Amino acid sequence: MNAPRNDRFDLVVLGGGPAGVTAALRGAELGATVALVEQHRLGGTCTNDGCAPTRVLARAARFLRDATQLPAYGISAPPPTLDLRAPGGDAADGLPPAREEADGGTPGARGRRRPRPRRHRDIPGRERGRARRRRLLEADRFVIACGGHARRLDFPRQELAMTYSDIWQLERTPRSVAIVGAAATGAQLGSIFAAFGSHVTLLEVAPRILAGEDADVSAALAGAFTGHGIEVVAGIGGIRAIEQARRGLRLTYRLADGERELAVDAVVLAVGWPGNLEPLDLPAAGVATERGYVRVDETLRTSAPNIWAAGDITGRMMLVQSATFEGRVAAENALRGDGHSARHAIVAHGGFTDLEYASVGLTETQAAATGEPIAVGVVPYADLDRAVIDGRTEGFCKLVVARDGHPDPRRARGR
Amino acid sequence: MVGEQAVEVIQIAAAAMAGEVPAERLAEVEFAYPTFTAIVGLAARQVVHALRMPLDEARAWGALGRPRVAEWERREA
Ligand SMILES: Cc1cc2nc3c(=O)[nH]c(=O)nc-3n(C[C@H](O)[C@H](O)[C@H](O)COP(=O)(O)OP(=O)(O)OC[C@H]3O[C@@H](n4cnc5c(N)ncnc54)[C@H](O)[C@@H]3O)c2cc1C
Repeated sequence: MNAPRNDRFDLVVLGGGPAGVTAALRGAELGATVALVEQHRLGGTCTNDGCAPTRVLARAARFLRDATQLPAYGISAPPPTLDLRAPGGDAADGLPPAREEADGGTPGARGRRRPRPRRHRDIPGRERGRARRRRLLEADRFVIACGGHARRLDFPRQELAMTYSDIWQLERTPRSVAIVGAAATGAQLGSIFAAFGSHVTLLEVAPRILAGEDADVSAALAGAFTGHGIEVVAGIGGIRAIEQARRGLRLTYRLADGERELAVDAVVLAVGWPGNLEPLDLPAAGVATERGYVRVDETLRTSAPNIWAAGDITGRMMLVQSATFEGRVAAENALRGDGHSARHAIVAHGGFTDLEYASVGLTETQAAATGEPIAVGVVPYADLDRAVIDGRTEGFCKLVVARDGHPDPRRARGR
Repeated sequence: MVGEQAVEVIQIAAAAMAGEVPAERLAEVEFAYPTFTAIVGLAARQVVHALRMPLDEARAWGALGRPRVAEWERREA
Protein backbone atom coordinates (compact mmCIF):
# COMPACT_ATOMS: atom_id res chain seq x y z
CA MET A 1 0.00 0.00 0.00
CA ASN A 2 2.87 2.36 0.71
CA ALA A 3 4.72 1.37 -2.43
CA PRO A 4 5.10 4.15 -4.98
CA ARG A 5 2.54 4.05 -7.75
CA ASN A 6 3.58 5.27 -11.13
CA ASP A 7 1.12 7.24 -13.15
CA ARG A 8 1.74 8.92 -16.40
CA PHE A 9 -0.29 11.90 -17.56
CA ASP A 10 -0.22 14.32 -20.46
CA LEU A 11 -0.47 17.19 -18.01
CA VAL A 12 0.11 17.58 -14.29
CA VAL A 13 -1.31 20.72 -12.70
CA LEU A 14 -0.01 21.85 -9.29
CA GLY A 15 -2.48 23.82 -7.17
CA GLY A 16 -6.26 23.51 -7.13
CA GLY A 17 -7.25 27.19 -7.01
CA PRO A 18 -9.02 29.03 -9.85
CA ALA A 19 -5.93 28.88 -12.10
CA GLY A 20 -5.17 25.20 -11.48
CA VAL A 21 -8.75 23.94 -11.62
CA THR A 22 -9.33 25.83 -14.87
CA ALA A 23 -6.07 24.53 -16.37
CA ALA A 24 -7.00 20.96 -15.41
CA LEU A 25 -10.54 21.23 -16.77
CA ARG A 26 -9.33 22.83 -20.01
CA GLY A 27 -6.71 20.11 -20.35
CA ALA A 28 -9.37 17.43 -19.95
CA GLU A 29 -11.59 19.24 -22.46
CA LEU A 30 -8.75 19.08 -24.94
CA GLY A 31 -8.68 15.30 -24.48
CA ALA A 32 -5.54 15.14 -22.34
CA THR A 33 -5.06 12.92 -19.31
CA VAL A 34 -4.64 15.30 -16.41
CA ALA A 35 -3.67 15.03 -12.75
CA LEU A 36 -4.49 17.93 -10.44
CA VAL A 37 -2.44 18.08 -7.24
CA GLU A 38 -3.76 20.14 -4.32
CA GLN A 39 -2.29 20.24 -0.83
CA HIS A 40 -5.41 21.46 0.97
CA ARG A 41 -8.84 21.94 -0.53
CA LEU A 42 -9.90 22.53 -4.08
CA GLY A 43 -10.95 26.10 -4.73
CA GLY A 44 -7.74 27.64 -3.37
CA THR A 45 -7.56 31.06 -1.77
CA CYS A 46 -10.61 32.15 -3.69
CA THR A 47 -13.11 29.67 -2.31
CA ASN A 48 -11.60 28.73 1.01
CA ASP A 49 -9.70 31.67 2.38
CA GLY A 50 -9.99 34.87 0.38
CA CYS A 51 -12.65 36.25 -1.92
CA ALA A 52 -15.60 34.07 -0.97
CA PRO A 53 -15.29 34.31 2.85
CA THR A 54 -14.48 38.03 2.58
CA ARG A 55 -17.52 38.49 0.42
CA VAL A 56 -19.61 36.70 3.06
CA LEU A 57 -18.36 39.16 5.68
CA ALA A 58 -19.00 42.06 3.30
CA ARG A 59 -22.56 40.78 2.90
CA ALA A 60 -22.98 40.73 6.67
CA ALA A 61 -21.63 44.30 6.76
CA ARG A 62 -24.13 45.26 4.05
CA PHE A 63 -27.03 43.82 6.05
CA LEU A 64 -25.98 45.86 9.07
CA ARG A 65 -25.75 49.01 6.96
CA ASP A 66 -29.06 48.39 5.18
CA ALA A 67 -30.78 47.87 8.51
CA THR A 68 -30.12 51.51 9.33
CA GLN A 69 -32.29 52.44 6.34
CA LEU A 70 -35.34 50.45 7.37
CA PRO A 71 -37.20 53.33 9.10
CA ALA A 72 -36.95 55.39 5.90
CA TYR A 73 -39.04 52.68 4.20
CA GLY A 74 -41.59 52.44 7.00
CA ILE A 75 -40.13 49.30 8.58
CA SER A 76 -39.43 49.14 12.29
CA ALA A 77 -37.27 46.38 13.68
CA PRO A 78 -34.81 46.08 16.53
CA PRO A 79 -31.23 46.91 15.53
CA PRO A 80 -29.48 43.74 14.36
CA THR A 81 -26.58 42.23 16.29
CA LEU A 82 -23.67 40.29 14.87
CA ASP A 83 -22.30 36.90 15.87
CA LEU A 84 -18.90 36.81 14.22
CA ARG A 85 -18.66 33.04 14.59
CA ALA A 86 -21.58 32.52 12.23
CA PRO A 87 -20.79 34.20 8.89
CA GLY A 88 -17.88 33.15 6.78
CA GLY A 89 -17.55 29.69 8.31
CA ASP A 90 -18.42 27.23 5.60
CA ALA A 91 -20.33 29.67 3.46
CA ALA A 92 -18.12 28.85 0.52
CA ASP A 93 -18.98 25.15 0.60
CA GLY A 94 -21.69 25.70 -1.98
CA LEU A 95 -19.22 26.98 -4.55
CA PRO A 96 -18.36 24.58 -7.36
CA PRO A 97 -14.80 23.42 -6.56
CA ALA A 98 -15.57 22.75 -2.90
CA ARG A 99 -18.82 21.06 -3.79
CA GLU A 100 -17.18 18.76 -6.28
CA GLU A 101 -14.59 17.77 -3.74
CA ALA A 102 -17.27 17.10 -1.14
CA ASP A 103 -19.07 14.90 -3.64
CA GLY A 104 -15.85 13.07 -4.36
CA GLY A 105 -16.39 14.12 -7.94
CA THR A 106 -13.08 15.76 -8.75
CA PRO A 107 -10.19 13.55 -9.72
CA GLY A 108 -6.95 14.61 -8.14
CA ALA A 109 -4.09 13.60 -5.96
CA ARG A 110 -3.59 15.48 -2.72
CA GLY A 111 -0.28 16.39 -1.23
CA ARG A 112 2.44 18.95 -1.08
CA ARG A 113 4.52 18.85 -4.14
CA ARG A 114 8.16 19.47 -4.75
CA PRO A 115 9.13 19.44 -8.42
CA ARG A 116 12.17 17.42 -9.30
CA PRO A 117 14.38 17.80 -12.31
CA ARG A 118 13.53 15.92 -15.48
CA ARG A 119 9.99 14.78 -15.89
CA HIS A 120 9.35 13.08 -12.60
CA ARG A 121 7.20 14.47 -9.84
CA ASP A 122 7.36 12.84 -6.44
CA ILE A 123 4.57 13.64 -4.05
CA PRO A 124 4.66 12.86 -0.37
CA GLY A 125 1.12 13.15 0.89
CA ARG A 126 -1.59 12.05 3.22
CA GLU A 127 -4.73 10.52 1.81
CA ARG A 128 -7.88 10.72 3.84
CA GLY A 129 -6.11 10.23 7.16
CA ARG A 130 -4.56 6.95 6.14
CA ALA A 131 -0.87 6.15 6.07
CA ARG A 132 1.39 8.61 4.31
CA ARG A 133 2.44 7.40 0.96
CA ARG A 134 4.39 8.62 -1.96
CA ARG A 135 2.96 8.73 -5.36
CA LEU A 136 5.01 9.40 -8.41
CA LEU A 137 3.38 11.26 -11.25
CA GLU A 138 5.02 11.59 -14.61
CA ALA A 139 4.01 14.01 -17.31
CA ASP A 140 5.25 15.67 -20.43
CA ARG A 141 3.98 19.04 -19.34
CA PHE A 142 3.27 20.81 -16.08
CA VAL A 143 1.33 23.87 -15.04
CA ILE A 144 2.32 25.45 -11.72
CA ALA A 145 -0.64 27.25 -10.15
CA CYS A 146 0.23 27.27 -6.46
CA GLY A 147 -0.99 30.80 -5.71
CA GLY A 148 0.48 33.01 -3.00
CA HIS A 149 0.27 33.92 0.66
CA ALA A 150 -0.01 37.03 2.80
CA ARG A 151 3.30 38.85 3.18
CA ARG A 152 4.53 39.58 6.68
CA LEU A 153 6.72 42.61 7.31
CA ASP A 154 10.01 42.55 9.11
CA PHE A 155 9.71 44.64 12.29
CA PRO A 156 9.96 43.81 16.01
CA ARG A 157 7.11 41.58 17.25
CA GLN A 158 5.53 41.41 13.82
CA GLU A 159 4.18 38.00 14.86
CA LEU A 160 1.63 39.82 17.03
CA ALA A 161 -0.07 41.02 13.86
CA MET A 162 -2.69 38.98 12.03
CA THR A 163 -3.04 38.54 8.30
CA TYR A 164 -6.37 38.15 6.55
CA SER A 165 -6.19 34.34 7.06
CA ASP A 166 -6.34 34.76 10.86
CA ILE A 167 -9.52 36.82 10.67
CA TRP A 168 -11.69 33.74 10.34
CA GLN A 169 -10.56 32.63 13.81
CA LEU A 170 -11.89 35.78 15.51
CA GLU A 171 -14.77 35.07 17.85
CA ARG A 172 -15.50 38.69 18.65
CA THR A 173 -15.13 41.92 16.73
CA PRO A 174 -12.05 43.75 18.03
CA ARG A 175 -12.97 47.12 19.55
CA SER A 176 -10.14 48.72 17.64
CA VAL A 177 -8.05 47.48 14.77
CA ALA A 178 -5.16 48.92 12.76
CA ILE A 179 -4.94 47.69 9.21
CA VAL A 180 -1.56 48.07 7.58
CA GLY A 181 -1.96 48.42 3.83
CA ALA A 182 -4.93 50.06 2.12
CA ALA A 183 -4.97 48.38 -1.26
CA ALA A 184 -7.85 46.06 -2.21
CA THR A 185 -7.63 43.63 0.72
CA GLY A 186 -6.86 46.20 3.44
CA ALA A 187 -9.58 48.57 2.27
CA GLN A 188 -12.10 45.75 2.19
CA LEU A 189 -11.23 44.46 5.64
CA GLY A 190 -11.25 47.99 7.07
CA SER A 191 -14.68 48.68 5.67
CA ILE A 192 -16.02 45.38 7.06
CA PHE A 193 -14.56 45.90 10.55
CA ALA A 194 -15.96 49.44 10.66
CA ALA A 195 -19.43 48.14 9.78
CA PHE A 196 -19.07 45.55 12.53
CA GLY A 197 -18.43 48.35 15.03
CA SER A 198 -14.62 48.35 15.34
CA HIS A 199 -12.72 51.60 15.43
CA VAL A 200 -10.51 51.19 12.36
CA THR A 201 -7.26 52.94 11.47
CA LEU A 202 -6.05 52.35 7.92
CA LEU A 203 -2.32 52.88 7.49
CA GLU A 204 -0.91 53.20 3.98
CA VAL A 205 2.61 53.90 2.75
CA ALA A 206 1.44 55.29 -0.61
CA PRO A 207 0.23 58.89 -0.66
CA ARG A 208 -3.36 57.70 -1.07
CA ILE A 209 -5.44 54.60 -0.35
CA LEU A 210 -6.19 52.28 -3.30
CA ALA A 211 -3.23 53.84 -5.05
CA GLY A 212 -3.74 51.75 -8.19
CA GLU A 213 -7.19 53.23 -8.79
CA ASP A 214 -8.18 56.55 -10.35
CA ALA A 215 -7.29 59.43 -8.03
CA ASP A 216 -10.96 60.49 -7.78
CA VAL A 217 -11.88 56.95 -6.72
CA SER A 218 -9.26 57.01 -3.95
CA ALA A 219 -10.46 60.41 -2.77
CA ALA A 220 -14.13 59.34 -2.74
CA LEU A 221 -13.34 56.16 -0.83
CA ALA A 222 -11.18 58.03 1.68
CA GLY A 223 -14.10 60.43 2.19
CA ALA A 224 -16.62 57.62 2.59
CA PHE A 225 -14.36 55.74 5.00
CA THR A 226 -13.82 58.85 7.10
CA GLY A 227 -17.60 59.28 7.14
CA HIS A 228 -17.89 55.77 8.58
CA GLY A 229 -15.48 56.68 11.35
CA ILE A 230 -12.41 55.04 9.80
CA GLU A 231 -9.19 56.94 10.38
CA VAL A 232 -7.27 57.05 7.11
CA VAL A 233 -3.54 57.74 7.41
CA ALA A 234 -1.77 57.70 4.04
CA GLY A 235 1.88 58.44 3.35
CA ILE A 236 3.27 56.71 6.44
CA GLY A 237 6.96 55.87 6.48
CA GLY A 238 6.44 52.27 7.59
CA ILE A 239 5.81 50.36 10.80
CA ARG A 240 8.49 50.54 13.48
CA ALA A 241 7.21 47.91 15.91
CA ILE A 242 4.32 46.30 17.70
CA GLU A 243 4.44 45.74 21.44
CA GLN A 244 2.19 43.85 23.77
CA ALA A 245 0.50 46.42 26.01
CA ARG A 246 -1.31 45.77 29.28
CA ARG A 247 -4.53 45.76 27.29
CA GLY A 248 -4.15 44.99 23.63
CA LEU A 249 -1.29 46.06 21.40
CA ARG A 250 0.74 49.19 20.83
CA LEU A 251 1.70 49.87 17.23
CA THR A 252 4.33 52.46 16.35
CA TYR A 253 4.47 53.83 12.82
CA ARG A 254 6.53 56.51 11.16
CA LEU A 255 5.36 59.77 9.65
CA ALA A 256 7.49 62.44 7.98
CA ASP A 257 7.56 64.50 11.19
CA GLY A 258 8.17 61.68 13.65
CA GLU A 259 6.60 58.54 15.10
CA ARG A 260 3.04 57.93 16.21
CA GLU A 261 1.63 55.29 18.52
CA LEU A 262 -1.69 53.55 18.29
CA ALA A 263 -3.29 51.49 21.05
CA VAL A 264 -5.39 48.80 19.37
CA ASP A 265 -6.85 45.38 20.08
CA ALA A 266 -5.61 43.94 16.80
CA VAL A 267 -3.28 44.67 13.91
CA VAL A 268 -3.89 43.19 10.48
CA LEU A 269 -1.21 43.17 7.78
CA ALA A 270 -2.49 43.49 4.22
CA VAL A 271 0.77 44.33 2.52
CA GLY A 272 1.22 42.09 -0.46
CA TRP A 273 0.96 38.62 -1.75
CA PRO A 274 4.18 36.80 -2.71
CA GLY A 275 4.04 33.51 -4.58
CA ASN A 276 4.09 30.13 -2.83
CA LEU A 277 7.59 29.30 -4.01
CA GLU A 278 9.25 27.86 -0.90
CA PRO A 279 7.85 24.31 -0.86
CA LEU A 280 8.60 23.90 -4.56
CA ASP A 281 12.18 23.17 -5.41
CA LEU A 282 11.94 25.33 -8.50
CA PRO A 283 15.67 25.74 -9.28
CA ALA A 284 15.92 21.94 -9.44
CA ALA A 285 13.24 22.00 -12.11
CA GLY A 286 14.97 24.83 -13.98
CA VAL A 287 12.16 27.27 -13.22
CA ALA A 288 13.44 30.82 -12.70
CA THR A 289 11.79 33.19 -10.24
CA GLU A 290 11.75 36.96 -10.03
CA ARG A 291 10.76 39.23 -7.12
CA GLY A 292 9.00 36.38 -5.31
CA TYR A 293 7.07 35.00 -8.28
CA VAL A 294 7.57 32.45 -11.05
CA ARG A 295 8.89 34.23 -14.13
CA VAL A 296 6.83 33.59 -17.25
CA ASP A 297 6.85 34.91 -20.78
CA GLU A 298 3.75 36.25 -22.50
CA THR A 299 2.59 32.70 -23.26
CA LEU A 300 2.98 31.79 -19.55
CA ARG A 301 5.89 29.47 -20.22
CA THR A 302 8.51 29.41 -17.48
CA SER A 303 12.23 29.18 -18.08
CA ALA A 304 11.80 25.38 -18.15
CA PRO A 305 10.53 24.40 -21.61
CA ASN A 306 7.93 21.87 -20.39
CA ILE A 307 6.57 23.92 -17.47
CA TRP A 308 4.00 26.72 -17.59
CA ALA A 309 2.64 28.79 -14.70
CA ALA A 310 -0.68 30.54 -14.14
CA GLY A 311 -2.49 32.67 -11.57
CA ASP A 312 -1.16 34.51 -8.53
CA ILE A 313 2.15 32.65 -8.57
CA THR A 314 3.09 34.59 -11.71
CA GLY A 315 2.57 37.89 -9.83
CA ARG A 316 0.79 39.45 -12.78
CA MET A 317 -2.77 40.22 -11.74
CA MET A 318 -3.88 38.73 -8.39
CA LEU A 319 -7.50 38.34 -9.45
CA VAL A 320 -9.70 35.28 -9.88
CA GLN A 321 -10.88 36.23 -13.35
CA SER A 322 -7.25 36.65 -14.43
CA ALA A 323 -6.18 33.40 -12.76
CA THR A 324 -8.85 31.44 -14.63
CA PHE A 325 -7.91 33.16 -17.89
CA GLU A 326 -4.25 32.30 -17.34
CA GLY A 327 -5.11 28.72 -16.35
CA ARG A 328 -6.98 28.25 -19.61
CA VAL A 329 -4.24 29.79 -21.73
CA ALA A 330 -1.49 27.85 -19.92
CA ALA A 331 -3.24 24.51 -20.52
CA GLU A 332 -3.85 25.33 -24.18
CA ASN A 333 -0.29 26.45 -24.75
CA ALA A 334 1.11 23.45 -22.87
CA LEU A 335 -0.99 20.89 -24.71
CA ARG A 336 -1.44 22.38 -28.15
CA GLY A 337 1.66 24.51 -28.41
CA ASP A 338 -0.54 27.40 -29.51
CA GLY A 339 1.75 30.05 -28.12
CA HIS A 340 -1.31 32.21 -27.31
CA SER A 341 -0.55 35.44 -25.56
CA ALA A 342 -1.93 35.77 -22.04
CA ARG A 343 -1.92 39.57 -22.15
CA HIS A 344 -4.55 40.92 -19.79
CA ALA A 345 -6.49 43.25 -22.05
CA ILE A 346 -9.78 44.04 -20.33
CA VAL A 347 -9.88 43.28 -16.62
CA ALA A 348 -12.92 44.46 -14.68
CA HIS A 349 -12.28 44.52 -10.96
CA GLY A 350 -13.36 46.25 -7.79
CA GLY A 351 -13.84 46.02 -4.06
CA PHE A 352 -16.88 45.29 -1.93
CA THR A 353 -16.20 48.15 0.40
CA ASP A 354 -18.78 50.69 1.53
CA LEU A 355 -18.81 52.55 -0.88
CA GLU A 356 -18.07 49.93 -3.51
CA TYR A 357 -15.54 50.86 -6.15
CA ALA A 358 -14.71 49.29 -9.51
CA SER A 359 -12.82 50.00 -12.68
CA VAL A 360 -11.82 48.62 -16.04
CA GLY A 361 -9.18 49.95 -18.42
CA LEU A 362 -7.08 53.03 -17.84
CA THR A 363 -7.48 55.62 -15.11
CA GLU A 364 -7.94 59.21 -16.30
CA THR A 365 -4.27 59.95 -15.57
CA GLN A 366 -3.08 56.86 -17.45
CA ALA A 367 -5.36 57.66 -20.39
CA ALA A 368 -4.05 61.21 -20.56
CA ALA A 369 -0.50 59.85 -20.46
CA THR A 370 -1.09 57.84 -23.66
CA GLY A 371 -0.94 61.15 -25.55
CA GLU A 372 -4.26 60.33 -27.23
CA PRO A 373 -6.76 63.20 -26.75
CA ILE A 374 -9.45 62.00 -24.36
CA ALA A 375 -12.95 62.99 -23.32
CA VAL A 376 -14.25 62.40 -19.81
CA GLY A 377 -17.80 62.12 -18.52
CA VAL A 378 -18.57 62.06 -14.82
CA VAL A 379 -22.09 61.39 -13.53
CA PRO A 380 -22.84 61.57 -9.82
CA TYR A 381 -25.01 58.80 -8.40
CA ALA A 382 -27.31 61.56 -7.13
CA ASP A 383 -28.36 62.12 -10.77
CA LEU A 384 -29.57 58.52 -11.02
CA ASP A 385 -33.18 57.87 -10.06
CA ARG A 386 -32.47 54.36 -8.82
CA ALA A 387 -29.80 55.68 -6.46
CA VAL A 388 -32.31 58.20 -5.07
CA ILE A 389 -35.02 55.54 -4.66
CA ASP A 390 -32.60 53.23 -2.87
CA GLY A 391 -31.17 56.01 -0.72
CA ARG A 392 -27.70 55.38 -2.10
CA THR A 393 -26.76 58.65 -3.76
CA GLU A 394 -23.06 58.70 -2.86
CA GLY A 395 -20.58 58.01 -5.62
CA PHE A 396 -20.02 58.66 -9.30
CA CYS A 397 -19.34 57.00 -12.62
CA LYS A 398 -16.44 58.33 -14.65
CA LEU A 399 -16.12 57.33 -18.28
CA VAL A 400 -12.89 58.08 -20.11
CA VAL A 401 -12.76 57.58 -23.89
CA ALA A 402 -10.49 58.61 -26.73
CA ARG A 403 -11.75 61.77 -28.42
CA ASP A 404 -12.68 59.74 -31.48
CA GLY A 405 -15.15 57.95 -29.22
CA HIS A 406 -13.18 54.71 -28.89
CA PRO A 407 -13.70 53.18 -25.45
CA ASP A 408 -10.02 52.32 -24.99
CA PRO A 409 -7.56 55.19 -25.55
CA ARG A 410 -4.75 52.62 -25.89
CA ARG A 411 -6.41 51.19 -28.96
CA ALA A 412 -8.05 54.27 -30.40
CA ARG A 413 -8.45 54.51 -34.16
CA GLY A 414 -5.60 56.11 -36.00
CA ARG A 415 -2.96 55.15 -33.45
CA MET B 1 -16.42 54.33 -10.46
CA VAL B 2 -17.61 54.48 -6.88
CA GLY B 3 -21.06 53.72 -5.51
CA GLU B 4 -23.76 51.16 -4.94
CA GLN B 5 -23.28 47.96 -6.98
CA ALA B 6 -20.22 49.47 -8.68
CA VAL B 7 -18.62 46.06 -9.15
CA GLU B 8 -21.70 44.86 -11.03
CA VAL B 9 -22.15 48.06 -13.02
CA ILE B 10 -18.55 48.04 -14.26
CA GLN B 11 -19.21 44.87 -16.26
CA ILE B 12 -21.19 46.94 -18.78
CA ALA B 13 -18.18 49.14 -19.41
CA ALA B 14 -15.98 46.04 -19.75
CA ALA B 15 -18.37 44.52 -22.29
CA ALA B 16 -18.47 47.80 -24.20
CA MET B 17 -14.67 47.88 -24.31
CA ALA B 18 -14.52 44.26 -25.48
CA GLY B 19 -16.98 45.06 -28.26
CA GLU B 20 -15.14 48.31 -29.04
CA VAL B 21 -18.46 50.09 -28.72
CA PRO B 22 -17.97 53.82 -29.36
CA ALA B 23 -19.34 56.26 -26.82
CA GLU B 24 -22.02 57.44 -29.29
CA ARG B 25 -23.47 53.91 -29.52
CA LEU B 26 -23.32 53.34 -25.78
CA ALA B 27 -25.17 56.63 -25.30
CA GLU B 28 -28.03 55.34 -27.47
CA VAL B 29 -28.63 52.09 -25.57
CA GLU B 30 -32.00 52.13 -23.83
CA PHE B 31 -30.91 50.78 -20.47
CA ALA B 32 -33.66 49.47 -18.19
CA TYR B 33 -35.07 52.03 -15.75
CA PRO B 34 -34.57 52.51 -12.83
CA THR B 35 -31.24 50.74 -12.55
CA PHE B 36 -27.74 51.45 -11.33
CA THR B 37 -26.29 50.15 -14.58
CA ALA B 38 -27.98 52.97 -16.49
CA ILE B 39 -25.35 55.32 -15.09
CA VAL B 40 -22.94 54.02 -17.73
CA GLY B 41 -25.35 55.23 -20.44
CA LEU B 42 -25.61 58.61 -18.72
CA ALA B 43 -21.82 58.89 -18.55
CA ALA B 44 -21.62 57.98 -22.25
CA ARG B 45 -24.11 60.72 -23.09
CA GLN B 46 -22.08 63.17 -21.13
CA VAL B 47 -18.96 62.12 -23.00
CA VAL B 48 -20.82 62.61 -26.28
CA HIS B 49 -21.70 66.16 -25.22
CA ALA B 50 -18.04 66.75 -24.56
CA LEU B 51 -16.99 65.14 -27.85
CA ARG B 52 -19.28 67.38 -29.86
CA MET B 53 -17.55 70.42 -28.47
CA PRO B 54 -14.30 71.64 -29.90
CA LEU B 55 -11.41 70.46 -27.78
CA ASP B 56 -10.66 73.90 -26.31
CA GLU B 57 -14.25 74.40 -25.32
CA ALA B 58 -14.41 70.93 -23.76
CA ARG B 59 -11.32 71.78 -21.72
CA ALA B 60 -12.98 75.00 -20.59
CA TRP B 61 -16.11 73.03 -19.65
CA GLY B 62 -13.91 70.64 -17.73
CA ALA B 63 -12.56 73.58 -15.79
CA LEU B 64 -16.03 74.94 -15.11
CA GLY B 65 -17.50 71.64 -14.07
CA ARG B 66 -18.53 69.14 -16.68
CA PRO B 67 -21.81 69.38 -18.63
CA ARG B 68 -24.67 67.56 -16.89
CA VAL B 69 -27.02 65.00 -18.40
CA ALA B 70 -30.17 63.64 -16.78
CA GLU B 71 -32.23 60.51 -17.16
CA TRP B 72 -35.28 62.53 -18.16
CA GLU B 73 -33.62 64.85 -20.64
CA ARG B 74 -34.86 64.77 -24.22
CA ARG B 75 -32.51 62.91 -26.47
CA GLU B 76 -30.70 64.99 -29.03
CA ALA B 77 -31.55 64.20 -32.63
C1 LIG C 1 -8.84 38.35 1.41
C2 LIG C 1 -8.80 38.20 -0.08
C3 LIG C 1 -9.86 38.64 -0.84
C4 LIG C 1 -9.83 38.51 -2.22
N1 LIG C 1 -10.90 38.97 -2.94
C5 LIG C 1 -10.89 38.86 -4.28
C6 LIG C 1 -12.01 39.29 -5.04
O1 LIG C 1 -13.01 39.79 -4.51
N2 LIG C 1 -11.96 39.14 -6.39
C7 LIG C 1 -10.87 38.59 -7.01
O2 LIG C 1 -10.87 38.49 -8.23
N3 LIG C 1 -9.80 38.17 -6.32
C8 LIG C 1 -9.79 38.28 -4.97
N4 LIG C 1 -8.70 37.82 -4.26
C9 LIG C 1 -7.56 37.23 -4.99
C10 LIG C 1 -7.85 35.79 -5.39
O3 LIG C 1 -8.16 35.02 -4.25
C11 LIG C 1 -6.65 35.20 -6.11
O4 LIG C 1 -6.25 36.06 -7.16
C12 LIG C 1 -6.96 33.83 -6.72
O5 LIG C 1 -7.41 32.94 -5.74
C13 LIG C 1 -5.72 33.28 -7.43
O6 LIG C 1 -5.95 31.98 -7.88
P1 LIG C 1 -4.75 30.92 -8.01
O7 LIG C 1 -5.37 29.68 -8.54
O8 LIG C 1 -3.64 31.53 -8.74
O9 LIG C 1 -4.22 30.72 -6.53
P2 LIG C 1 -4.95 30.19 -5.21
O10 LIG C 1 -6.40 30.47 -5.23
O11 LIG C 1 -4.16 30.73 -4.07
O12 LIG C 1 -4.78 28.61 -5.28
C14 LIG C 1 -3.51 28.00 -5.17
C15 LIG C 1 -3.70 26.60 -4.64
O13 LIG C 1 -2.46 25.91 -4.71
C16 LIG C 1 -2.32 25.11 -3.54
N5 LIG C 1 -0.90 24.88 -3.33
C17 LIG C 1 0.04 25.77 -2.93
N6 LIG C 1 1.24 25.19 -2.87
C18 LIG C 1 1.08 23.90 -3.23
C19 LIG C 1 1.95 22.79 -3.36
N7 LIG C 1 3.26 22.91 -3.10
N8 LIG C 1 1.43 21.61 -3.75
C20 LIG C 1 0.10 21.48 -4.01
N9 LIG C 1 -0.77 22.50 -3.91
C21 LIG C 1 -0.30 23.70 -3.53
C22 LIG C 1 -2.97 25.94 -2.45
O14 LIG C 1 -3.37 25.11 -1.37
C23 LIG C 1 -4.16 26.54 -3.19
O15 LIG C 1 -5.30 25.74 -3.08
C24 LIG C 1 -8.72 37.93 -2.86
C25 LIG C 1 -7.66 37.46 -2.09
C26 LIG C 1 -7.68 37.59 -0.72
C27 LIG C 1 -6.54 37.08 0.07
